Amino acid sequence: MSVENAPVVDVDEAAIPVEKKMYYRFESNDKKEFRVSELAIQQSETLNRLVEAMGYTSEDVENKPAIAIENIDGKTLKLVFQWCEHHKGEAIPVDDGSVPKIVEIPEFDAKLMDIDNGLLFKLIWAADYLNIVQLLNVSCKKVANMAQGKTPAQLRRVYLLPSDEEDEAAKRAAQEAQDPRAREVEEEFEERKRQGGNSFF
Amino acid sequence: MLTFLNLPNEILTKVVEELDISSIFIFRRVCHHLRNLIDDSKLSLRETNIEISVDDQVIGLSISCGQDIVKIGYRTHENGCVLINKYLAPLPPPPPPLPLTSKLLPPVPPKFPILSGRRPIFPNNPWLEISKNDMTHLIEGADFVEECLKDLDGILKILRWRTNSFRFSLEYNHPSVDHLLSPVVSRFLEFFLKKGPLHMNFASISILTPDELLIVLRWIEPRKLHLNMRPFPRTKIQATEFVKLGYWKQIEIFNSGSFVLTGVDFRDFLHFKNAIVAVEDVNCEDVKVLKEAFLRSTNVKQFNIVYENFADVLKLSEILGKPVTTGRWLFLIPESRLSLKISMNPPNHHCLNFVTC
Repeated sequence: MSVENAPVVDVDEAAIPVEKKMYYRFESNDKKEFRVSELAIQQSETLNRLVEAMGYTSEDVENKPAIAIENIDGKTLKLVFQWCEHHKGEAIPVDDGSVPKIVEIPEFDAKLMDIDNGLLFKLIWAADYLNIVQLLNVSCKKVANMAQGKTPAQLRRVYLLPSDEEDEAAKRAAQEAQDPRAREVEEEFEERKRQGGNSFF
Repeated sequence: MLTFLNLPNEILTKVVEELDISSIFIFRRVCHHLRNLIDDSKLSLRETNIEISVDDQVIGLSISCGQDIVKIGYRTHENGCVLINKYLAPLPPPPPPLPLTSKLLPPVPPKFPILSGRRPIFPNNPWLEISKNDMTHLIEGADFVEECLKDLDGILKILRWRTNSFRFSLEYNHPSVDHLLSPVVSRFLEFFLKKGPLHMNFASISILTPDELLIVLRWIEPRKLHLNMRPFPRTKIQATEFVKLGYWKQIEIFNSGSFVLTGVDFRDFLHFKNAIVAVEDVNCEDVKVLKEAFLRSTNVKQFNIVYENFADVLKLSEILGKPVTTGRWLFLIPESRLSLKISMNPPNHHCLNFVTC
């Protein structure tokens, strides 16, 4: 799909006609376009620096191509900008380690993050990439909370993780794929050990 | 597809820092990546209290950090070790059942069947009971002591070998079952010998023999040391073994429990704020040393001596003067509003008390 034909998603639709604010246009790696208010962008240190460096006027944002965010897909970016719009104007927490950090997940954020785990991990990755401190805090908290009341086996399923045994097996398989002779040598070694030989060579 | 472990390490660390203490234990068992991540992270667990309760078939490990508490039982099982995560607080609604491929134990009845073919030595041990809300899973081929020690090692690394309190207790503390508990206790002592020391404010220790006690004493560095009482006969131990501990003079509160100290020089015992010391012998010269020391310093609040022999007890009035009432003496502490009370219970009680008030 060309950029001209891409759907334009206004994340803060109600605000656009009445407020004379600057709305920047961003484009995800799957060519979805978003309009995001200047204030909401301030939640992302990365994007805020980017737009400041670009120094766009109101005309520029309309006439120039949307700013491409190449590492993030539209589904994830929509969640990111929804979060930024909802929390625009809020102070950005500073984590300097001076006070113990207590993260609580607001209701809006909880609903926003009520998504499948794959998308949640993408959201976390995007929050880190775009340096959105509070979104990263709440999303990490959400992932941590997912561990409550689960067994290790259930957690492997939730986090899509291999067990140590599966991990070892995968590594062995990868090694064998590289060197098909390795398995034969190992089997021969085991056989000689069973027969009481001390040395393979 | 992006999985949890594909996230950058800084993010994984942030997630780990948000885990509650119960989840830390579960996370460490998921895979070695997470175990390493947790053990290398800088979790800020403050005011942590650790309790280990030893039985011959089950070990209870409780760790609290403020309001956050985890209680894990490590139960021997014919196929390995059963891990019991005790239900302690309202949990979020249970998630829909997942199609698990790993082997989980079937739902357990409220009382866990006796699996080793022998009756538990302490059937009322709370760690033997499993309620319907407890979470259990079997680690096949694992040894229950080894599993507990692995977790203990992990959590102590996270805590950088510092805790507020450390309690090591025997679930059934009687000499008649020492031979059953001893193999389990020995495994802990091997661990203590290899690791540590563990710094703490308060230590409460139940142990079987003086030799074992010495291993534990060299492993811990407490400010308050409480050795627990065991049924008679009491065990004798040289006082010098305590005195030569590097942290001996730092201890503020001391209770020798059922260990009877021999060869005591009370000048090595004057730094306590509060103490209960069981000794083999005491004499009038000891009482004089203690009285003069406590009149010079108001540091001590209470010092109780439980003695076996008081050879020259009849000469006590020569040292302390005429009692205020039978077996009670009162002295004003110079340059303070405090007084020192010395009282001796009837001789058959074998108890001498010094109180500053």
